[in-house]
Amino acid sequence: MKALDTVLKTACTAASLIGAIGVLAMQPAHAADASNGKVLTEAHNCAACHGPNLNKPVSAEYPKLAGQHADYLYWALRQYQMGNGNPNFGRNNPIMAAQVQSLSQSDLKDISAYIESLDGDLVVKK
Amino acid sequence: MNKFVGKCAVIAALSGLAGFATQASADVVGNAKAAQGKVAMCIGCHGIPGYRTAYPEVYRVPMLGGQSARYIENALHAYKKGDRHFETMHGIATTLTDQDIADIAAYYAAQTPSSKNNPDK
Repeated sequence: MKALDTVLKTACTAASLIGAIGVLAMQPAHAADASNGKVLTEAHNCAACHGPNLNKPVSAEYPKLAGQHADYLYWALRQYQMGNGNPNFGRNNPIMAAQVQSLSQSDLKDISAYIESLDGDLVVKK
Repeated sequence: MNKFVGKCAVIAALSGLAGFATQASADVVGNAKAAQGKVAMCIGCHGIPGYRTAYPEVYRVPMLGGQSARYIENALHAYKKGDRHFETMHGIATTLTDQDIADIAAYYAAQTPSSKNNPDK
């Protein structure tokens, strides 16, 4: 009887754990909000350097951004936030570091989604 | 007074050096045609639509076609020097000369939606 009890208890614990994991997994991930990204991009005046539609930089030193992959953009922005103290990742551009300091990770995802949605010159060719 | 003069001398020397560095890279003119045989290492990732890198983060590698030449050049120099950290790009950039970097930058900057794929590849 005691053995059965233990088996039942274990089964119940396992079932509730699986249930909890299921609930966590079903939470929708933060879906990037490109319209908030547009607002942030304008507030941070990205076009002042990256140019109209973020596709005509005012200097060739600055990259064209329009249409670039959102996950790459997000990681680039994150790296500006983290600086280059780590040997495996990081960028040390002082202008960009200052620009991104106040932004949350979800802001960065929104900005990246907005930039990816723009039409630009960038292409993939061999 | 001496300290002030010393500082000025250091600043002058540094600006001289900075000027020299800019001058040196400005003298190298990129040749897109010459890069055709130099981009084999680039194409393996940047020439495959949707290709993702796996370490230290997973993301699609950036599109380079149509990008400003000067930006690509600076990025490659930064990877080479270690100002921009990514092991794969550091490893590749250290094998490139200033001329190779200028050529590759010109090659990618010249690409448009109607560009033909590299005939050598």
